[in-house]
Amino acid sequence: MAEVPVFAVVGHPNEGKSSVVSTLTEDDRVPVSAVPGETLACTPYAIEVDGEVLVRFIDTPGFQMPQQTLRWMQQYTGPPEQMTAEFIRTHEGDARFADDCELLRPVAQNAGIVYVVDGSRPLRPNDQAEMEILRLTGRPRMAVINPKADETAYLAEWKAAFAKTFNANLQFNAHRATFHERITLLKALQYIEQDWGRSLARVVSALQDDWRVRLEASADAVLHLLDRALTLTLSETSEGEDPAARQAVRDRLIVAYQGKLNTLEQECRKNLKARFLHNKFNADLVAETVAAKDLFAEETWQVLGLTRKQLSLALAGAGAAFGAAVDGAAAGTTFGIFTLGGGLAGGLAGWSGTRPLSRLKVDLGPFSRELGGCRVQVGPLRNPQLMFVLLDRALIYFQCVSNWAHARREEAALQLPEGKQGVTAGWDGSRRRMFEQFQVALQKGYGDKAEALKPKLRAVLRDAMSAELSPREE
Amino acid sequence: MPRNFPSEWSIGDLVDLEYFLFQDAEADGSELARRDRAWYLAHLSDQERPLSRRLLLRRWLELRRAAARDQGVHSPGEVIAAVLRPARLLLFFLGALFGFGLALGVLGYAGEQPINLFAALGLLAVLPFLFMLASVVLPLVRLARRRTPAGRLGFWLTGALLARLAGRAHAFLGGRGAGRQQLALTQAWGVLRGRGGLYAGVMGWLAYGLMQLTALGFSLGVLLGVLLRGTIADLAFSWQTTARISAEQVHALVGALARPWAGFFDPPLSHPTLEQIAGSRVYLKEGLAPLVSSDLQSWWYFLLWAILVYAVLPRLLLVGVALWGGRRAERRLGFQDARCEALIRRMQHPQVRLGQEGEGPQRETGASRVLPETAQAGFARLHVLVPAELLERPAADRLPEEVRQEFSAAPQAVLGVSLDEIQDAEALRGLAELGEDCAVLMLLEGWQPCIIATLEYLKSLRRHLGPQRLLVVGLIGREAPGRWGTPTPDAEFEIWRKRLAALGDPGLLVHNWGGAAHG
Repeated sequence: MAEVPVFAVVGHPNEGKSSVVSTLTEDDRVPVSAVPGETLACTPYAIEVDGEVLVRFIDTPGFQMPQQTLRWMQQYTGPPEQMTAEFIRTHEGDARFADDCELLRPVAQNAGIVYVVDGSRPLRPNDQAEMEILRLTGRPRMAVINPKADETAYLAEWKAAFAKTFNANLQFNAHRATFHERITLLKALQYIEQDWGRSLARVVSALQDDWRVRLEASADAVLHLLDRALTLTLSETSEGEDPAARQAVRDRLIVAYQGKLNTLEQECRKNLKARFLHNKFNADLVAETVAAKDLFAEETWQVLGLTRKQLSLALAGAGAAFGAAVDGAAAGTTFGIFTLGGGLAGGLAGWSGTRPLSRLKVDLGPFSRELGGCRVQVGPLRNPQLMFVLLDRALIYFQCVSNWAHARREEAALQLPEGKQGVTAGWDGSRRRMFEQFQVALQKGYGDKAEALKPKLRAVLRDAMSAELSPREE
Repeated sequence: MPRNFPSEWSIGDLVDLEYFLFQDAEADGSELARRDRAWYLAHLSDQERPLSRRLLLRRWLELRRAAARDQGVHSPGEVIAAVLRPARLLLFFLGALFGFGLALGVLGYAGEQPINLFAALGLLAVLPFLFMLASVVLPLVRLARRRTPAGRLGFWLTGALLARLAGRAHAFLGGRGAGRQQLALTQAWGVLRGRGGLYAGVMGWLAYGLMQLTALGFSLGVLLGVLLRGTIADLAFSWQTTARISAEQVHALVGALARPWAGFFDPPLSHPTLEQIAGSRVYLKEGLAPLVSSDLQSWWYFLLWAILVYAVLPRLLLVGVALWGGRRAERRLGFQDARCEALIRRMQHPQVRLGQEGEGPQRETGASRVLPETAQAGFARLHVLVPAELLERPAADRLPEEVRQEFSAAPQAVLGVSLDEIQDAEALRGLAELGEDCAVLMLLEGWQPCIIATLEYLKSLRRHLGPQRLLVVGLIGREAPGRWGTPTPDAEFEIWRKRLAALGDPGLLVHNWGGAAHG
């Protein structure tokens, strides 16, 4: 018990103790309820590194008899270090004190204290009694302000009260805490008891390592998605020579192509979600976010991906690249006409490029006797907008799952700023160009070029992911 | 609706009242207020003089039953009444059967050995007499302590047994599958049975009556058994003893026992003569040969008299007492508890509508006015207890006025408390001296969780107030500009209501500030 730091997360009923434990330990199996007094027994939740428990947080029931408990402690005259244990011994048989005995049990066994309060409400005599009880236990303690509503009028009052009683205090919204805020809390705990510093420092560095690994894996998942999506091709043979039948096959393939892209995106999301231990997180994405909308909805292509101007440039670049290939093939005899022409054509196409499925390659081959029909091929989608839309959607999704505090079980409404709502439109040209090159390399079948680009792309994605564009909540 | 229906409350009526109050507790407050007010104005207030509380509630119950009947719902009161009558008969006959069996068993005489007189007398007359004494003394003690004559056994009789029967009957009458109704029935019966609760007296006397009826059946069964055995067979009684007891002493004892009926009949019809007593004594070593048959038979009359006077008549008397006690307990029902109080107020409270005409749901408010006499008995003045920190709210000076608006009752005093029994000792002691017409209003913040300490504080309030006085818990929300109290959100109010219901305090009214009250 002594070498593993244990923290009892205590407080008044319904202040969000279970939520804090859930978010700190990334465990969304911690029961969280809006009805006060749902936690009846102490339940430990651990942070393990390589199978070794480095810190434990104990979810406890709330104080039920704070004034009476304090009165008993103030009248206690025995040895101070025995006080908590003596309190439990004295009141164990009294049903009224069942919760108070239960929550003080870990404290009697030398746990540290994390005192959780809802900072959006005023301070009451019961709270003062609770703080005094914790002070009398003599255990190292930190106060955590977990505001349940957007009310800041009482914060100063709370902080003044904490100053008298606690070694440290900080604000930690269990329902919105990001990874970095979790780390901040764990770091703060290092300083309330020296003996635990090393253990907690290990936890912090292990979590940071772990976070980096998660980012790497997430970036890989996104690149894998691009890899598959940008080279996606579906083909089928249309029997006979009837053009109407051919059209029908073509239409069916386009639908199937969209469905396949959707499936690829879902796989990527599943992959991302698994990195963040969300057992219960089924709000696959908040209904209001653009990323939750259909991949091929007009609006998606309007608000994600690149702006018209950026897209024109991208397409011009891509067109020029294709043109340059033709010029190259003609060994310079074309004086770069194709490069220029391709660039111009691409630039013009940029104005229509924000429409989904624009520049989708659809090949209706001629009738061939061997096939007994003709080959219809759909894909790949040459429009760079697809790549940027996929990137944006993946990054938004990532932000949601990675910072989706584990205490939050409801579907919150996220709203992104007006205008272009993705991340990629805000990137500088060099980053965008790297991805454009990646696309061209993939679609022209230069696998080695694409592979060579991957480490740089991974770095770009890592940066984008750790930038934590916390979406604002409504 | 008949204009001259009874004003008595039968057990069935009480069950129905509880049943309907329980159903209403789940319903929307403003809807109830509209309904009850409309009934009051249409049927209950057009009298020359205002109805008493008992009568008002009784008539409201009839209206409520009629409304339920229109919806094709059986009220459980009918079921209970239907179950009670056969239950009484059943218990009576069971007792009789048992007594008859016992008598036949004790008087099993085949002619070889006369029946031991002391054993027969002890089992058939003295033992029932002792039981009868116990059922006089124990209830007296209980009445003094708990206002109810029945103990555990009695409550089992009226509880487990009757509830089970009633449940079966209810299901049989078509209440099958109606889970909510079943729940309400169980709840109603539960409230009625609650020991030390509102109806402890009525239910206790009912249980007591059932037990006396069973015992009367038993005594009559014994009497019938002895009579029948003696009529159709030749019975021989003898007495024997190792102690130095002479026939004269036995004669004296028997004479003393027979004093109540010795005035009407002479020996040997009232009790055996000294010669007969001496002649029916058995000395085992001498055998039965010297005994004379007429001496041995002379005891039969005495035994019959003893059973009649010491077992049957007292029980008959006690059945009478139980009936009288039940009547009296029924007459003493005050219907002062919080839910009845809320119902009376709903009926006698004018509905004031605020806002535009033709708007959707209207906010109900209590208008200040002089309450009718019946309601004033409940509370016309309020002794207000407020957590001290709430008196520091900027709008605290508006508190008395808002209380007046909220309850149409004048705040008699406003006291700051700390919600801690020991710190508030003085304030709590003062509660015992409140006037008859004064209720206590305890204001609490509804956004706070209801912790055990709060429940303990309310229990101690009840201890200081005595069982009868109305205690209103007013739940207020956060302060708003220009108002001292605001309503508690429904979800929070609901959680409070459930927690406070666990106190089982019939005199506790939970009131949402600016909203509805619930008992």
